[in-house]
Amino acid sequence: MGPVREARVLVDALTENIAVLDRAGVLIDVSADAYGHGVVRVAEAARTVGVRSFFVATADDALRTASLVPDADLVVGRVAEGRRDEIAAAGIAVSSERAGERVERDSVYGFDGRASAAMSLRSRVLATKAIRAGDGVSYGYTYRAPRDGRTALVGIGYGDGVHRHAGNTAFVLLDGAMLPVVGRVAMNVFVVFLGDRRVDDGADVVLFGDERSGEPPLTRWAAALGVQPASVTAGIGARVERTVR
Amino acid sequence: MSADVWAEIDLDAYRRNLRLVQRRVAPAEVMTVVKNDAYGHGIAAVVATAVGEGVRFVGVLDAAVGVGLRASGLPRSVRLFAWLFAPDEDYRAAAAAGVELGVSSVDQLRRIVSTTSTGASGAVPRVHAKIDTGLGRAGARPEDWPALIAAIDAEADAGRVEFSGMWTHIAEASDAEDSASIAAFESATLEVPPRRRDGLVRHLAASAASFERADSRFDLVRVGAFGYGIAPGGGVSPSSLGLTPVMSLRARVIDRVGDSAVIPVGAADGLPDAVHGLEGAAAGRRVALSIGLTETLVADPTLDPGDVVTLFGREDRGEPTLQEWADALGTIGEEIVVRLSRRIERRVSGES
Repeated sequence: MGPVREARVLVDALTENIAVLDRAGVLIDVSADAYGHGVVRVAEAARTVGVRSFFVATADDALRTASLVPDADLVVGRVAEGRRDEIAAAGIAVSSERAGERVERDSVYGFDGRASAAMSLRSRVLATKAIRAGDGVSYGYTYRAPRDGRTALVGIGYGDGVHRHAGNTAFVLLDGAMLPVVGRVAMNVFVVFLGDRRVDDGADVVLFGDERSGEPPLTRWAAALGVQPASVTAGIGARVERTVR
Repeated sequence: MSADVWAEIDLDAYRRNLRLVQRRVAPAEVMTVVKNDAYGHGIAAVVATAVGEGVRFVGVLDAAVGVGLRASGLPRSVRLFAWLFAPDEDYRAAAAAGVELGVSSVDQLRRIVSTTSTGASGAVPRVHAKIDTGLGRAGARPEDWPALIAAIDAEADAGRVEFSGMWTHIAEASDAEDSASIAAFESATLEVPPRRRDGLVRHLAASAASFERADSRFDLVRVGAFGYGIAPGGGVSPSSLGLTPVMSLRARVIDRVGDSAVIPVGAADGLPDAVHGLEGAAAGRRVALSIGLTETLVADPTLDPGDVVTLFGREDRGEPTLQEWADALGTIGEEIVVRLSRRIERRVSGES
């Protein structure tokens, strides 16, 4: 059985997305640890298709990134005057010095809904149990079961990057169907209404994933929550294991 | 000290909050809850401070975190409690480290026993039976509770587990529904054989209920939010409860764009995404914030590069609190702090 919380980076999709970009003057945006995809991983994928220049929006983030990928050509977006020397000493350029270059983000990570998403967020069913019509679920009882059935407790919550307001709004792929997240998402778990389905403990739950294999897309997840895809992937928490496929 | 963005963690405030809760709930004891890296505040400093205040129970959520705390020297006199486990969890290391385990089903109990009674460690796992008194998440439903208790009783007789506690979570949907959950918890106690009841630590309430309702406290209350000075929201401020926010998030202005100052923090660092109407504070004034993905615009014509903007902090300094942000966003302060990126430097003060 795999991890209970998994952010799977889809390296093929990432590499493909970078490969089709016009390489002249391109900077791959790797701000915020490559929006949660892992800056080292993204830099490596870019290199395999001959792209070696990267962009980071802010100074602190650029300095951290420079230490992770020391041989990269790194450009920072905006820096306080007082930190120019520090940035230059770390071998980082400032974007105002690099006219004619463009930053690519949405097309790299599939945030635009056209390129394939490069991350899949997954969890597992911890346990299932019966629920009776009218029973409430989770804090504040914002959901009550419409009929007798079963629920699944899923081992990921808002402390792991699943927005708290996903409850009663978002759906997840479980047992081959899109099933509703019900009640408030808690810090470390949420509940799915299964209806009459019998699901095994440990069953896969896909919040968003590889569209090419029929999994629900990141852009749909983000749209349901009214947030940007970039902040979804960047917001995935430290308890979530990063894996690569 | 080059960071343009940092979160100040005031352990003196944490200490004051904890003392307030301890006085309020006595003779019940406090379990300090430190899941998710102490709600983003940094687990090591928080646990050390809590233990310094006489706290004897620490709630860690994940068994591995408890094992890590023990390995770093936390004495056995401080009891650790974990309650979220994988279906294929191996409980051996937790048992050896004396991490006590929440148990919700007979299946889970079997797994605890099968993974801990094979090794040579000789550590008998301590279990806390969980009943679902209405929240509908983990815990045995009342109809499954007698079977769970009977199974634990039998394993305890065989020396394979120690029956140490029973617990539940309540929904805080309404006083009446919480009362029903408390009553259900009381009657669940009666299913436990009388000879076992005295040894049980019973716990039901988290911060808000433990503060408001004496009948929710039992032996132990689990306190996360209030320790960190996070008020429940809905207009209830930290100061109205006597709490002081522990975390203040600050950033330095790096540039100006038109009538706004720019600070280098945004939704990619965990700030609320795509929202308007949040305020920060700078130079003694409230300032409107427009949060972008990696930068935030501060609507103020006078701030200069180098000036400090507080995103959230403390009422007594005229700063917005997490509660103010959470109310504006329709969420709770906990979500804001636990989403905050680990890349943001934590500057801790008040260490003992």
